[in-house]
Amino acid sequence: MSGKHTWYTFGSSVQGATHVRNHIPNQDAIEWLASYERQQELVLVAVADGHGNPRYFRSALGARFAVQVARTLLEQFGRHYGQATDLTVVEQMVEQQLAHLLVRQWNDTVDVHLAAVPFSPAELAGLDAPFRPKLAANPRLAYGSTLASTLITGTFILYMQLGDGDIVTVNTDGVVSRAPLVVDPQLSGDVTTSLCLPSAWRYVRTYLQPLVAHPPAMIMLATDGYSNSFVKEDGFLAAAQDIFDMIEPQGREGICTLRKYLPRWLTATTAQGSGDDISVGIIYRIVR
Amino acid sequence: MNKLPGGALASRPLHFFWIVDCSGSMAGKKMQELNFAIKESLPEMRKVAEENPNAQVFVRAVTFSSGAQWHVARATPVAEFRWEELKAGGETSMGKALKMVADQLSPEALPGRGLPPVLVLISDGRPTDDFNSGLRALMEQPWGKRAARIAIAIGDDADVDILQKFIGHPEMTPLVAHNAPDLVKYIKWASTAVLKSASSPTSQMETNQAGAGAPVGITVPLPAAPEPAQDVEDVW
Repeated sequence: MSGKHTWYTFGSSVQGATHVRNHIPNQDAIEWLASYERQQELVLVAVADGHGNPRYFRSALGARFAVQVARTLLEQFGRHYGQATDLTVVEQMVEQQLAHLLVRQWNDTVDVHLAAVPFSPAELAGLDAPFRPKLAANPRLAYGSTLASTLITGTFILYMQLGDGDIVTVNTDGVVSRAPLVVDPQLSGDVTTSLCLPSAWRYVRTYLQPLVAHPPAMIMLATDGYSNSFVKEDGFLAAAQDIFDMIEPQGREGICTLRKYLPRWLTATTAQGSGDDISVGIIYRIVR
Repeated sequence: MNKLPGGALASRPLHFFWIVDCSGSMAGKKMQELNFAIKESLPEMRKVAEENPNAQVFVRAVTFSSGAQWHVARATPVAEFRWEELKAGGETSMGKALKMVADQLSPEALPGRGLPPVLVLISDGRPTDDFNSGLRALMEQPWGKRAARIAIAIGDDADVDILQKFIGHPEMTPLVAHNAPDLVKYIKWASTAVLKSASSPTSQMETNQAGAGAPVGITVPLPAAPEPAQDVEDVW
């Protein structure tokens, strides 16, 4: 561990209110990891949102694969480069290889699954005619999913995202900002870029941030069902601030309390808001 | 711990627009059936909205003849929406109507968290004004591009090519109503099945025939359109 602070992580993923009514499973997924082995701090969270549209009928699996692949890849990456003091090399790896590795590993996972479990007549029966040739040309479409993830090591924070979803940071004064990722101009409304697109690596956005004197006090990752539940953007950002304010006075106890309440809050939020599945991952830094 | 984190919550707004041809050629039976069909579809439309409390459905209507005007200008909750009968007369200023709708789809007018709007264009003729500039204005708006654009042609004189341009997507073609039962069926389908599909939050991207491509085009998974009626004598 760094010796000055410890990162804690937790999260929750709940089925959307509309999905409950329509008997559709939760098509989001979440994974997190907090490891302090061999004095090497490594924390990560990944959330994914399967497209949900009936055309992408295996997107719940696609989302599950997305967070699993991200977790494995980022953990390996963190273990290899997590102590690097010269971030130039890390930056080169991120820029030149990470996106390719992510997409390749997700593709491989999907291909293995598809080979083991080919599309059934029942799955294909509900598809509209114009989509069938597209699926035949690219069967990975059925698994379409987004991904938002963050890795923290002893020397850097790495943000990595493909498609919609939100990553926000909160500083020690409680000020909330969006993570410094470039905006994907292709995201609009419910249209998103996706892991299932050919050359999906082109849509992966990354940002490597040295872990300097004043790192964020908290990072929140969420699928778009959360932000879409608020009337205004400010209301969504205020959620991160409120969560920070609830944890901050109590530290670890606050984290335990939040961990308990988060699932029921998210369930209430989807019911009163977007109706979509919601996944939220929190990374919180406690100064020791 | 009873208060939820964050600001005010709300279900997502869904804006539905009727864009209706009121030119002289619509006079008589066509207009009568159109008024009947929209009125008839309202209870079912309300039911669809009630079944999904996570979408707030607002309805508006614009008509075009010699010029274009709002028939229902305010974004009206579907539960309060009433249909006043339209009368036909004049030319076919379709481009002007599309411009008026485009103005209501700007990011300032519709915040980004909404569900994709549904635009239903009904016409029996060909535009007499600058259709292309109206369509351009519509497609310049992010919500115009992302909207579910449905077109219903009434009779053989309708300009199907123009309506296809409005749809702007090869996967969907204009529904051609050759008789009153078809018109009723198509209007009901657009205002219920399409509305239902549009009001469920899903993400997707649009792909080309090779399964590749960028996220463009319609975003609402459109349900299969109804088949035209068989052996109906009263043909327009």
